[in-house]
Amino acid sequence: MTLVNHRTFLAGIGAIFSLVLTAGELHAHGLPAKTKQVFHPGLSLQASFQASYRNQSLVENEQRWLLPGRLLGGEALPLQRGFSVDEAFLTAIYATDQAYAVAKLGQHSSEHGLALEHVYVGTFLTENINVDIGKLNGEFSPFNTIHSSQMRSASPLLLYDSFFGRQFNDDGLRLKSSWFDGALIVGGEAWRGSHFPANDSESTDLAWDLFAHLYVSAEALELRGGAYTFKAEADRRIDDRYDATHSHGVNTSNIPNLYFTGDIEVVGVHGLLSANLFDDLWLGAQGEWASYKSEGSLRDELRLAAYRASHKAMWVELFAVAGVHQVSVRYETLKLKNELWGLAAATLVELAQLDSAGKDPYRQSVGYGFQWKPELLLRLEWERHLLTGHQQDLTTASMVWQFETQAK
Amino acid sequence: MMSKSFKVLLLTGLVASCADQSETIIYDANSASGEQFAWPLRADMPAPRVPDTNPMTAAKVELGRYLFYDQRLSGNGTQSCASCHEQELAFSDGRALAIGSTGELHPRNAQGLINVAYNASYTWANPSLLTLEQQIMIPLFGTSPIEQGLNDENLDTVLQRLRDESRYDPLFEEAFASDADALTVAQIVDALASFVRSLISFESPYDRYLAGDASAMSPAALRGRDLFFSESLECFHCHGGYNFSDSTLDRTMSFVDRPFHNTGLFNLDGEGAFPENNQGIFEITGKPQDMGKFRAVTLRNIALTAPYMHDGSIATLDEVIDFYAAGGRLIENGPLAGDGRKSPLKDGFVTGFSITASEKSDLIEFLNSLTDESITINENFANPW
Repeated sequence: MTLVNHRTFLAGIGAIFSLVLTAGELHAHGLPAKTKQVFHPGLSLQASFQASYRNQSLVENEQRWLLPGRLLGGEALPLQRGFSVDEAFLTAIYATDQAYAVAKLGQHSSEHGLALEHVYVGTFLTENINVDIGKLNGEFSPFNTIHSSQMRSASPLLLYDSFFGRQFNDDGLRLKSSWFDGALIVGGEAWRGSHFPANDSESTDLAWDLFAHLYVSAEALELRGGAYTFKAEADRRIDDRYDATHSHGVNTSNIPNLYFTGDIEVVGVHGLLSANLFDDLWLGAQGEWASYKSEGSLRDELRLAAYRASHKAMWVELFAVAGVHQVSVRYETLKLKNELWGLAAATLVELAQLDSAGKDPYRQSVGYGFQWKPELLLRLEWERHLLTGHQQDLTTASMVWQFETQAK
Repeated sequence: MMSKSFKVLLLTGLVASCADQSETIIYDANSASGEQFAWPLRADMPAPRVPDTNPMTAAKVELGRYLFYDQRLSGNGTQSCASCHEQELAFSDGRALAIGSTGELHPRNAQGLINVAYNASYTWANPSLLTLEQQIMIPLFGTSPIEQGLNDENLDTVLQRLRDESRYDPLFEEAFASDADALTVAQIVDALASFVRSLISFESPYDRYLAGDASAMSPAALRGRDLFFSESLECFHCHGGYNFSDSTLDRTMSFVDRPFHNTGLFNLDGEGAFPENNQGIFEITGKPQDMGKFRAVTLRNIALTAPYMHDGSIATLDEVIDFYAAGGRLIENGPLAGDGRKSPLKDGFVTGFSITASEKSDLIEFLNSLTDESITINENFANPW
């Protein structure tokens, strides 16, 4: 059976091309990611840090977070009550006129030690084509390359937690080309396929993705958008969030060994639209929609069932920025359709908690941010979510510090 | 312009959130076999596998019960299935080795039959015997040893004996109404298999405890449970799961990882050899590493099924625990002399352990809590004659 629904992807690309043809000058606001790869010769440093206080835990200590209806993995770990260092990153970039090297040292949560999130080298093959190789963050969507410290909410996006294990990061190679002075980027990435939703296995093929990003602005309007398709394979993939050496306080001896084997495809579109209404007042909206399809098998040590997942994720955020104040409203939801065949299906559904009981997981939040200093953002947000099978309210106060030195 | 854009995005969100709904659809669920038989199981228990060629019906089970207890179903009319499978002993016979209808001694112990519907394979050590229908042919027609002693010469006589019994007419008619022939060997086998498959029990004190009755198990039994499931004793690795056997297969399962084990009962030659007439699945596969491997039987109702092991060579549970605590058996003299503890073929989980008298008592209390006394008086299982 073909999992691919390319129509969405092709429609997205078609829309981008039509918009590019009418694009005006470049302008930057909103997303931090640049569409055109620009590195200044010399050494640049970027640092970010997010610390938070939460009044609720998604799940209690020593419990796994299982999202009913969805197999999770990667780094999609639950946020805990109390103070925590959510993220700490330091990125070093050294560039010459023709090449660059990037290393990012990061900590994803209080329980993780520092690790190299990505380290890669790149070069410009021509003025508009560059290639990167090493350990990379997937650039198929700009929202995969950034962390919640760079968003308006301290909670990671549900789409990325669910479909990409919070963030897709793997050994790979990226080739991309910019057009129309950076208004359009098209590219492709090939991955070793060792990160969720794939897994490290000798029997699986490379993962890969294709993407197109658009960036246009006209006077007081700014539009960004893009589309991507991502394919991967998994072979006896377990929930790698919790294992004997990486348990996050969970008693792993009680966790049933469940394995997914099969093909995965994700197709998505994303966009941002913002407008400068007055001198320092910006209004905007951004969001993303993605379809995740997988087909294969689910098994434990004794049982096997055929498994097909057809999942959809959507998030949309409305925001207003007025000087040092910013407010935002975000809504995220998942539609999780699972089909299983075989005598063991009911047992495996129960073990994996794959039954969402007809409830769509969601998260809705309202946030306020105060840019106290250029490098320091204070945030307060309230959210209501259904991410464990029962509704929960959460209040988060967070502080984000970001710093950047630009090579001269 | 601006309000239109917001509306588009909001509308997109609303459409996405209203379309479809999360759902999990299970095809071929556990109960979707189409069979017309009420398994005596809790809702959370998986049903046993049933061959497509012999679906369970209450009529076949009832006919099988009559046949199971009928001595006329043997060559010389002296032995029924129940002769070696007595209800009050959880359908074992209390002997070390079973005795056939002609007096021939069976090299192996008669196993209990409760929950054999969940066996991944049948008899003590035959990975190719996967259904009760296959297995039942062995006691009926087997010649080495002879059990019920049917053969080509006496089969017509035996069948005629059954036809002469008036009570069988309605039973066969109801069980096999669509069959052209009445009272055939195939029908007898299917009915016997259906009855044996219906011998199910999950009502022991341990089951009641799991179901929420905190008083069902004594403190000693609970301490014994903790020992049983501990990594120091290792019992649960081979006798785990709801049926206390790793040779369990139900309709939700596809694989059995480790169905046969060498426990170090014998080591005749220092290489792990077992006595010639009882060498486990080696007799079937011919593989040297399969020497002495036997199926791990269920521990349910184990207190009723003494003596123990495939050859009935250990009389009590107390001695069985001593055997495992020693990590195998040392036989110092005689033709079977050898140190099973040092067998190179011994299972990796039979490594020995230290246990106090008090702990052993607790462990036996736990094993006793696996006894479902109701099976010894259940009228559905009882002799109908």
